[in-house]
Amino acid sequence: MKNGAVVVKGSKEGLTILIEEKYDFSIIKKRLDEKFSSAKEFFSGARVIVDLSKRKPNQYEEREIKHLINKKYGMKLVKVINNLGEQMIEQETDSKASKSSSDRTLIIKRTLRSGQGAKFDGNLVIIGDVNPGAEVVASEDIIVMGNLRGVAHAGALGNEKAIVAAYRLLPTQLRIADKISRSPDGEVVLPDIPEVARIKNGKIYIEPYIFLD
Amino acid sequence: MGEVIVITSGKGGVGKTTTTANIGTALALAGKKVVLVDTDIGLRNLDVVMGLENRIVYDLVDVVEGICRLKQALIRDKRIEGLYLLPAAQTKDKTAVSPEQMKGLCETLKEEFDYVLVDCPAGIEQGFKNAIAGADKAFIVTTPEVAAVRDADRIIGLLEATELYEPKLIINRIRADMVKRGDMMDIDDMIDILAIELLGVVPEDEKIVISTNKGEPAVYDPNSKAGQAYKNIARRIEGEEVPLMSLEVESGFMEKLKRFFGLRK
Repeated sequence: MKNGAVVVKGSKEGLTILIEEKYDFSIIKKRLDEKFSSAKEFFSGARVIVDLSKRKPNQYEEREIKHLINKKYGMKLVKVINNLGEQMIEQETDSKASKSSSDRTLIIKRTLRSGQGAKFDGNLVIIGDVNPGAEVVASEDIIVMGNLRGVAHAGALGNEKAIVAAYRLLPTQLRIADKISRSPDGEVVLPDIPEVARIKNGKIYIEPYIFLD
Repeated sequence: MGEVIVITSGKGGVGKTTTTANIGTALALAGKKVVLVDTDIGLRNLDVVMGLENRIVYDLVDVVEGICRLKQALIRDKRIEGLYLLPAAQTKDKTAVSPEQMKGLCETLKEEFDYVLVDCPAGIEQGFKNAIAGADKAFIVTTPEVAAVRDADRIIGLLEATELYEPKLIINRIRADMVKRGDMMDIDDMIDILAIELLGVVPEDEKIVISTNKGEPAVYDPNSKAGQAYKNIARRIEGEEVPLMSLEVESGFMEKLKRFFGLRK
């Protein structure tokens, strides 16, 4: 998809729109329109990263890009990056904190029951149990200060370094990034210590949270 | 001013209706003024379990639609004074009543009665929403099965979402012998997951089948263990401290003899 000024690439994190620096902003707008207006349905809801490479946009241009992507094309602008070594627009969260997702943590102080769940772009800490039938999803780590019996998905946007830790780790299913594991069929050995799940050599491993030598 | 208690479970067939009938009867036997409301519109059962089926003229839908007065639809129990039933309609469906209408109805009943027990239909749809609309408290009935406990957990979550907190748990149809062998979830397993206060444990009892078919709640039968458990629950509702009854299966003479000689624990 290359016709100058605007290049669209797919990645694990969503779509990356690369905007070349040498073109005038009006041409960039036109190109964006050509690409996305015709296929609005297809791109709707997609997570978008805008890469400005060496271009330094002014406030108006930045606002325009944001508006076009979020409102006109129905996509979700996650962040704007450039080659100048700084991040400019962070994802819109309620807190509007200018932190990356690994620094953001949502603490839920209650038990999540069957049919309930939590989704968060950042770390998720549950002070309570996650019961069977409940689902917790986070783009970073998940910590459950209680029994984790439901489904947990850490690093949901592809972060393979994410972990799932629980006071008692007894999940129905455990997912980290794009790896999935489930509890064994038949006899289940119940842990009586806190455990951590993480990816090692492309597989999900569960080990004690405290190492006793 | 009385209180409205909804008896619910999520899963079907765990004994909501039997529980409603028995707790209601036990409370009435203790001298309270009680009304049982069947909200399972289209699949009414409570009237059958109470043995009052043949007395129905008007029903809950008639009341909310203004076809009759509330007093006309209330059926007086044939055995005890102070116990009434508001039957569900059988020919309509759950959408015949709205949560707002149920709320209004419960408010009116609360003024007349000490306890308004609402028998909730299975499921989490309109019927459930109607049943919980006017409730002050909720009792969750579950059996020692994984599916029933899962549904109970879902219900507790939904109740919390409608600001109906601290429901109480009734564990129904437990079999001590199976629990002992490790073939059935025990009480602690269930409390561990659901994390709510236990109101009572009702043992599996074949007398329930007989009493249900006869339309005579088990609390009338002094030999029914389930009946005894329901009576204890009623006393706990009244604020009495009643210990959980022993679930031990009555042992035979030889068993007792063996135990006497220390051959068994």
